[in-house]
Amino acid sequence: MKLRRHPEEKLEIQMTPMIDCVFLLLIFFMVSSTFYRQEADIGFALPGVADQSEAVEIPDEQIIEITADGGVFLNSLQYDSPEDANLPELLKTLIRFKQSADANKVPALLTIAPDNKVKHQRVVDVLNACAAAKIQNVTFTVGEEEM
Amino acid sequence: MKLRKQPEPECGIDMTPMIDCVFLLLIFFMCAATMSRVDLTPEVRLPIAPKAAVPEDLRGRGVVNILPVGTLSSSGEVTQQRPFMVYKELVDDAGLQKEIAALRSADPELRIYMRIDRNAEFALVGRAIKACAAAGVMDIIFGTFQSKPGSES
Repeated sequence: MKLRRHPEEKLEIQMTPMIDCVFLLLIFFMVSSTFYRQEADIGFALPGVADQSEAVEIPDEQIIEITADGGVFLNSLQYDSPEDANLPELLKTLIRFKQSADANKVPALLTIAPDNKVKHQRVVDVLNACAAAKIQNVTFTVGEEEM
Repeated sequence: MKLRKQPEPECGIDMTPMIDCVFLLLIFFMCAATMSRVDLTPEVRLPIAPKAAVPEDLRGRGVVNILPVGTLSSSGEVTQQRPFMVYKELVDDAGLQKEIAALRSADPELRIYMRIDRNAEFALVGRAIKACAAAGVMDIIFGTFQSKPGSES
């Protein structure tokens, strides 16, 4: 029997199904992904001893109190109006405090004592002023009640 | 002069650059999709702090979300006694302490990243700080936005 030789077939890769798959995957990931706004940090450290029952007296420590209505008191003196988010007077004082602490080569310690009813945005306003004054050693006092 | 008719050029669309682009987009969206696995609860509206720093090192963070009392969470529960949200589950003070202690045993260098709603009262934050102190974590970070929505630079 005589075998007829097949003509050589042209070799070609079929791209169409792959492109279909890639498109499907692309659409799936586009639909399923959610974008988040970039978040930023304001950090602080707790005092070394956990669960401290009473505040320890440290010299050169400044205490910022925040009242329930948003008033900010540094060492019992009120700074700025309760509605002002930028706290320019407090910021000026904090920058001076930081400069004098640096000149004396002592760490600038700040303790924030917010009222339990204060909204978190107000606490962050004060922390923002601390960050602007480049004060790193910030901590909180936490009320005794409800704990 | 006799003009010779040129042979018609073969009309074909070059697919290669398009496939390149599609692959790039695919890889981008695949990367973006993995980001959403991080515990960032969208109900929490973070406070604004223009001087906050955008972190470069995001390792070793445990996330705690704090919602104001009376908020409807994504699980359909209204936050009352259990205002802290860890991995989509609402927990109370003791539960939070347990969660943080478990995270800390896995990573002794753990830092707690607190995503606190701007309208939450400080009493809640104080309770979360106490839970961190009791679990032995001293390093706490507050999450903020640098600008108001719509005014991003």
